[in-house]
Amino acid sequence: MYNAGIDTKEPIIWVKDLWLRYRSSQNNWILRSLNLVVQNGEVVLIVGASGSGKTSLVRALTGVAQALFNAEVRGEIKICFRNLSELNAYEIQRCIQVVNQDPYTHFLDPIPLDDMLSYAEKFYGNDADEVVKKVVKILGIENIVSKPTVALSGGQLRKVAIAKVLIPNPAVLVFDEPLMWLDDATGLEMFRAMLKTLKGMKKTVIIVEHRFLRLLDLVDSVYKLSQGSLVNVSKNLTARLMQSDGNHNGEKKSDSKASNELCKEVLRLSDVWFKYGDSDWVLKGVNLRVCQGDTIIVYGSNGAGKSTLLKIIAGVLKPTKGYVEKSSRFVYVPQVPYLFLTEESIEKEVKELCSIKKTKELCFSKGIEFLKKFGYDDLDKLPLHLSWGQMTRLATLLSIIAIGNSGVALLDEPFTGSTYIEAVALVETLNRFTDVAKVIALSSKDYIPLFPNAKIYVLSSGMLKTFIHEKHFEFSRALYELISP
Amino acid sequence: MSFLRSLVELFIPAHSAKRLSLLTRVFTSTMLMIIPVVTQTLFKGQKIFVTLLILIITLLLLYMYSNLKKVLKGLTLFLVFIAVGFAVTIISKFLGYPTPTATELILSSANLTALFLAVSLFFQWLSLRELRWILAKLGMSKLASLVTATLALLPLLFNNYAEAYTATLTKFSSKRKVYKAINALIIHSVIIANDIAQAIYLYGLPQTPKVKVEPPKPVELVLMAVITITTILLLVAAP
Repeated sequence: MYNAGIDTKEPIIWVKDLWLRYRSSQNNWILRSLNLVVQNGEVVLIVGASGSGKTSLVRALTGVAQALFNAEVRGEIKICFRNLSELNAYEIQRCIQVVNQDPYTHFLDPIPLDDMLSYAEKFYGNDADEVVKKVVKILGIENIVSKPTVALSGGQLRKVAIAKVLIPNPAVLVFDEPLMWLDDATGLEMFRAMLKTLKGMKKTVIIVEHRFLRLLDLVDSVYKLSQGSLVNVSKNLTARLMQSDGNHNGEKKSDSKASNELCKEVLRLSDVWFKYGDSDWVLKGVNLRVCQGDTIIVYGSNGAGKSTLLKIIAGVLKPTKGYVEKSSRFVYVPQVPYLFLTEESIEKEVKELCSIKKTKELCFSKGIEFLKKFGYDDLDKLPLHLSWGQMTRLATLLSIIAIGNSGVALLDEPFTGSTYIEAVALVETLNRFTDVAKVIALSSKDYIPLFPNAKIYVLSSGMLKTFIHEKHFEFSRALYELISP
Repeated sequence: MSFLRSLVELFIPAHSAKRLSLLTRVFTSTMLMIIPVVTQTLFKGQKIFVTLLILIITLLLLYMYSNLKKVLKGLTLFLVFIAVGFAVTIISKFLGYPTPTATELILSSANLTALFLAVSLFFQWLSLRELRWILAKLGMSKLASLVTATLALLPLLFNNYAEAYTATLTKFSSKRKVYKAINALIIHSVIIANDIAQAIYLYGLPQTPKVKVEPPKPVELVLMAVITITTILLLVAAP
């Protein structure tokens, strides 16, 4: 293991002895003497556990950490051959553009097309319209770019955010979890195609991603962020990981053998139709029966209506036609995890959840023990200060504590921001609660094999159908462990 | 919560409105906003034909350039305003203040509804780019940026508020603890504020946009003339 070394060629990104900590993080340095050298035209992948500091590194590269997050930053950062501190905002934007984890950070106008036009005018004046049309076409988002941001799914909004950062034609592009919420069919392929185009254009690209396996063939070097420093991942290991990416089982039919005789029904959707305003139908006659202990996977592409379906079950939205019958306790964890978190510390979250239970103290001690297994050791921490992945997992685990012995957990993209290893651990925990029914919305097939006994459905064209996945993605756990923290 | 979200939808720009020229959109929606104000202040809202005319035109335009559902949502406002007016009247009566008659109450509510719908038409017809351009032309560039950033995020905030409410309700399985959603909402607002700050830092404040101002088509000129002349005639001649 060695720190990413300094090359002799003048690099486009040059970071030396970078230290970073937030004032709120009780003097813990998130980044510790980190070095990074990225050559012009290089495509770099950075992996690491959630909370390891990947997003902090991205923030430091653009100066956002110092300017907006009140972070203390020491060390040297050079981008586009100049010290970051010497560059003004316009120069930074021309040099480096970041697609953030949260796509909502990209828009100041409710209509993305208008937002992009305003941004493009800054660089191209009267030619802005042409430039915007060009990037919209590259990403194939013509049909969604004129819709309000609130009408777009998380994945669709991410595609638009990627289009926006291409506008100034920057030398360096940084993608912070670009595949988060993106589906396999259009999202992943779109990103891969775009990455190939960017490579062809000799752009420098830095990708921070947990679902990295499908990108390995397109990157030049891989670094692992661990204990605040970057460690180069050897070509040999990368090659082995790529080989494991090709591991597919034969056809696997969804295990939908419903144990009808023993089924204690907890949820039923009967002929549910839904549409937003005067738009097209999002759901068309959806029927679903969930029994106690069932695991239901609802897989679908971006904008297919997975979150809408969960929101209807939860009661956030009302079906336009049809009805939903619930006969058990259920807890809804939204795609945006902080909408679930209500307390000022992790400990208080557990305490409040257990305060409504008969066995308060037992619930509390078990709950704390449960969270500690997942690395939530600092129980006084404000949940807001966790990384996105840590927050998502915390919300999922809290929902299980809230449900207790039996009920229904509605989980919208629970693996967002999690590494493969973290996802496996989460699934193993969820599977232990055999009496709790889980309805899980997923936009990536990668996680489906983790639920061998689940009933798997695909939501497509508004209809929910049993899903038969021909290629079965196989986790090579031993290899992932090599890359885990 | 769903009523709040429906209200917010009334203020999201509709792309279809761009079929009309900017001048027509600004003139017509502004006229439709001014007339109920004039009727209410100068005639105490007692111009039944003017109020009806403005209500019908606004609803018709909302129907033509957005959708029927929004029109129906707009009509429910009428009932809300009457209910509020009725409550105020009862309280005023109880406290011994002079109270309006039922006709005055209904006409004022209709007037207020017409004004509210006209404001919604204004925001549906103008994109924030165009609004920013107009404010900048009026010498209010900084205000334009602040207003547009705020307006841009309102729909998102309301959308997520509804989700936080439901998530908290299901989390504690009790309406008694649903007030805790406030914490999630505060956190959410802080994060949204941070998002805006990041967007401004990464992309800068939006510049004054370049907006094409095309002359109104003949049919649009007719629309504007009909609204103006009919209103003046009704104000002068009709009860």
